[in-house]
Amino acid sequence: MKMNFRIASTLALAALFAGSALAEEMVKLELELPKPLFAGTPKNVQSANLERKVVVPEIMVPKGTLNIAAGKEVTGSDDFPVIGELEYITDGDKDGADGSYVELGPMVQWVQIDLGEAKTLYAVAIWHYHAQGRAYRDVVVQVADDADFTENVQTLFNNDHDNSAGLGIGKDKEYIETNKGKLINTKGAKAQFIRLSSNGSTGSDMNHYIEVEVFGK
Amino acid sequence: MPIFFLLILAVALGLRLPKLADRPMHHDEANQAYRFGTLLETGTYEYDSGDHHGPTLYYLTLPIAWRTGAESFAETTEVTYRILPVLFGLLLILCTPLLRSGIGCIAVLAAALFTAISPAMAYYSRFYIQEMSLVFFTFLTLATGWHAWRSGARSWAIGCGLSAGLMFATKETAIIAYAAIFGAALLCAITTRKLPRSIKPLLIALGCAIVMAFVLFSSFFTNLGGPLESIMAFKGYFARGSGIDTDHVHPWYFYLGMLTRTEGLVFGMGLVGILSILWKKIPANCNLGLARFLMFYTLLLTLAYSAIAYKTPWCILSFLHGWILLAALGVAALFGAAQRGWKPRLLFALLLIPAFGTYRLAHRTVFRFAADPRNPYAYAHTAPDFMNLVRRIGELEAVSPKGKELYIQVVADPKETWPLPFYLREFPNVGYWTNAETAPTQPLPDLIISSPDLETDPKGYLTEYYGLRPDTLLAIHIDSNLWNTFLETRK
Repeated sequence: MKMNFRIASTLALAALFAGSALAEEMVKLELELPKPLFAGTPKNVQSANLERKVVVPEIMVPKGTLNIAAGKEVTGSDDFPVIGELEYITDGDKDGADGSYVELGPMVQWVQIDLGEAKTLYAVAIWHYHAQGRAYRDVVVQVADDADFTENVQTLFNNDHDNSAGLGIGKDKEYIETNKGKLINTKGAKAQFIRLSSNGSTGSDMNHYIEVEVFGK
Repeated sequence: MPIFFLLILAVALGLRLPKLADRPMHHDEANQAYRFGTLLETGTYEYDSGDHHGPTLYYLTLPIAWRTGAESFAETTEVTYRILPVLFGLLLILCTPLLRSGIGCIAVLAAALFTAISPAMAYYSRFYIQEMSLVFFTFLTLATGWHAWRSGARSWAIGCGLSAGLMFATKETAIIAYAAIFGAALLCAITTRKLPRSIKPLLIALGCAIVMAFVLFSSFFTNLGGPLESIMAFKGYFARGSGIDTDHVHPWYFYLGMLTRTEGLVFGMGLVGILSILWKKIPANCNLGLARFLMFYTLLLTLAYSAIAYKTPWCILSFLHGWILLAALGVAALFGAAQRGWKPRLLFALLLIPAFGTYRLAHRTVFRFAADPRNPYAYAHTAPDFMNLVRRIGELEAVSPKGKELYIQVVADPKETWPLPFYLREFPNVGYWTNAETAPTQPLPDLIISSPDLETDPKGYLTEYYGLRPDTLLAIHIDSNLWNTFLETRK
């Protein structure tokens, strides 16, 4: 009887502990987060072309590869640029100062270069604007066999990650503009026409191009 | 006169009140709003001399927050803050007739008009910083001081002292105005060889000023070290004024450029006012002594601010208002010279043309170019693109099951952190770090906002860039799962 009582007591205690462990009160984990630090009025930066971190990829191309876009005809979605002319894009002037870039209107705008005939493309280099640190949105580079972009359309670069430009979701990353431009490996794509789109930037709603170089044969 | 005055008030209101929330909060505005939020939520304020000015701005915002029913920082809006400088901008115009006995009706109307349409006055009347209240308290000190001087009445002296105390409790640069007032009074005494009849009103004013400043800096006697700290803070201010440890060193002609380019009408008419004072051609209903005092005061203040290496565009307001009063005297002098008949009407019509041009410039300054770097008053201003970042955070919050409980890490230098704390005020789980190494790696944040220089390039996050200020970007890294949920809603 005494033995039974002991066993019963032990079982009751064990059940009590187990129950209390199961019913342990849970509380929301509260993070202790640091508050913002105060700082005085920041510097009013107006300087041109600050040096920024940039990694230029190494692209191997066949010997004799040239900039086949130099001096080629450029057309665009905005026939009347706000500043400059479309021919600035292939004139070889990569300077960041006023007078070297063309400014197209707001929203999605594109420029297109006719390479004259179908070529093998190894790389494209783009300079949008580098007098100020900014990132252009929805940068898309496409090539095609016809000017209307209906035949053999290939997308070589697309950082429009939310499809706001309507050309599909891209997996490439946004980047900050520098004087070193953006070099894109086109991996030997074949096409006659190249079209570059953008959708404003962190600096303004407008779209800018200083120079585009297309390396191929 | 009342109809003209009401019209001027309507113009002033039209430039100050609409679209108050449209311009993104400036770094300094957000900083001040955050400090006010602490006062609102805890009921306590302690003067902090490090990069902060006096307490009046915060205390005066309290009634507005109470009136709008805001009980926490999260419940306040841009309007809660910006309505205060709007009120001071309007009060400055409403109180112009205080000088009527010294400068006459025409000059009062002209001063009210120039204040209403001045691009700088209109722009900073919508800006949650100390400047507009400082200008108002300075004008009140001058106007009540004028009455105390003229009548010797104790009530005016008390008013003058309280206003002078409020000046100091608003911003430490009040001492530059004090020096200009003292210098101008001294120059007036030398030129007229007249001394005050009694120094009793002056002593009363001084006593009131000290009491007022003490009450406010001590947070109503709860922080007795505050008043002493406000004096000790000048060590840092003097160093900064001489160009040490500051990013805001500009050439001596910095303000002169603004006066001639955007405040050309006021500056031009101010020069006419100075000439009319020097040639003693001011109208009979203007007091030459007061006019001379205003001339010396304005010139001394302009010289002092131009000589100080540290310059920010909002500091122009202190002496710009002096130029406005001189310009008003210039207008009165021209009308006085025009006699009767068709000449005053022609003069009125001729003055209306540049006045309309100044109004249009003010309109563009406060609305279209409010945050544009081409606007000389939009100094180190938050870029309009920053609001796209705010919008993106809102879109992500809307699709996340956590809602406003999103865990956000901000990893940025303090100069690149603001105005984020204002726009993230409704999110309780936001932490601020100044380098990526010290930010905890667990739990994983839903969003990381960082300076591109401090970018951690975290795996499993999608990165977007947004403009904070010209040439300063912020990167937002969005947890891939959250991003994919967001993309689902876009299909």
